[in-house]
Amino acid sequence: MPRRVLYSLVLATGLLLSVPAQAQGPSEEDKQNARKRLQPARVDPASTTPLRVPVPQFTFVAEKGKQEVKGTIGADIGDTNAYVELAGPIGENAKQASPLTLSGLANGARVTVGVSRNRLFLAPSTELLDAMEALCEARTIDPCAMSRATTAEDRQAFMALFVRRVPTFYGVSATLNRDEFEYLSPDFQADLTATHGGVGLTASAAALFRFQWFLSGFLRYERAHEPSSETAVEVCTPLTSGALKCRETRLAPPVLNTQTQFGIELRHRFESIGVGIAPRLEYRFDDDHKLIEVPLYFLRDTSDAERPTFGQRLNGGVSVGWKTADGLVARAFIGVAFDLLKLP
Amino acid sequence: MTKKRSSASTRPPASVKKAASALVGNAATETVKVEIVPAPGQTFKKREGNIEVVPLTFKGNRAQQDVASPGSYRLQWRVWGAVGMEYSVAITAPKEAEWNDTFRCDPTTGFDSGLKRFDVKEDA
Repeated sequence: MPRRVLYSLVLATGLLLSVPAQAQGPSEEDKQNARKRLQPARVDPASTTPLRVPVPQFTFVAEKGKQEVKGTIGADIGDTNAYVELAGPIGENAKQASPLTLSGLANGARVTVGVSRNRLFLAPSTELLDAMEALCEARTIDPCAMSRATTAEDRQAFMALFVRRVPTFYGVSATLNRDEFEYLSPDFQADLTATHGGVGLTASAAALFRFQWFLSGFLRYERAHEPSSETAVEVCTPLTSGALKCRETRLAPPVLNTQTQFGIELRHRFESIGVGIAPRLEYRFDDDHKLIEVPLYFLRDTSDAERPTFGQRLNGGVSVGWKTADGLVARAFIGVAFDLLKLP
Repeated sequence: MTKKRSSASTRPPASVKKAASALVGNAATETVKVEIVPAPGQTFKKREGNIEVVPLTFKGNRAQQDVASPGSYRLQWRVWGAVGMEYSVAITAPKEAEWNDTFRCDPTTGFDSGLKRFDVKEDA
């Protein structure tokens, strides 16, 4: 697979370099004018989509007390996309992460293998081509392409000619992980460790309605060990200086936990006010836990570089939610892009 | 230079009256190529194309089709990339006029599609 990817990249790069200068068609000035009419460039490197692309992608995620690197590679086979994702923790001062070792997964690492499928484009036909040509003539769209349409209405009309009325997406994935746990013997005399593997299975499906509303759902089963929450203790050891050095540990080995979750999410962009919303509802069958969250994303907008907007500078948003265990939760997030089409 | 005859030799239906806006040619001796390529460093998540409903052959991100038979053709493409992603479409013939242009995926969905009519002339 990597060889094929490299081959594609070399081909694509070589082709771009080899495309000769245009001798007929729009002039450079025409192109500049057309570009001004084009939609704003909103290419966001943090952007992800339901389908993994067939090139390696690497991300770094940092949360409080947790830093993680993630690498993904995928391949398209017709309408089906297969991918492998490898993630592993990285320390605060570490220069490298090694999710895989000779003996298998490293501690805290996980590997995900997934397959997704989509039903997106309409099958081509001469009637469809005729209709597209007629639309471009009637609305003076030249060159005849959706990206050259200047109004939302024209783009919607164009999209209806090549995208299915309700595009659908499906996916399944399996995750394996390995974690090491530390705990104290009941007599406080020995530090013990236990290593356990876990597994997660996820099935997801989504549909795009009116090319604007993306509704998705998932069902997830997880089987993994967790630190024994009822035996958490803080153990303090006196130092020679007289101070105490304390650490949190457990008095019992980790416990096996299985859980089944269900969730739905609706995503929509409000272009006029420059925000995207993604309200979601999750339910955990095992302990009747519920989660409701309404994230509000500020959309990046680079359409008017001379008059930068709030959204042009900021990539993130705010969120308000409610969880069974925690009650009302509000948070702000940065560096997270809004994607309309995103499977859970 | 490839000289095999293309399977994409379907003539457009009589109902289509618009004149071809791109002339490329000398089909009998030089093949005409159609290429759809994303901007460097970018990749399509999904891409399809056809010349008069005969599918283009994609290899990785790049689509290429030789057109050797004289006639009038329509190239249609449909892509899905990152929102706002640029890509180029080119119709090239070694000896004569060529056409290429740059397009951009939809800022909301990442979809885009287009249609380009072109002629392949008899060899001079």
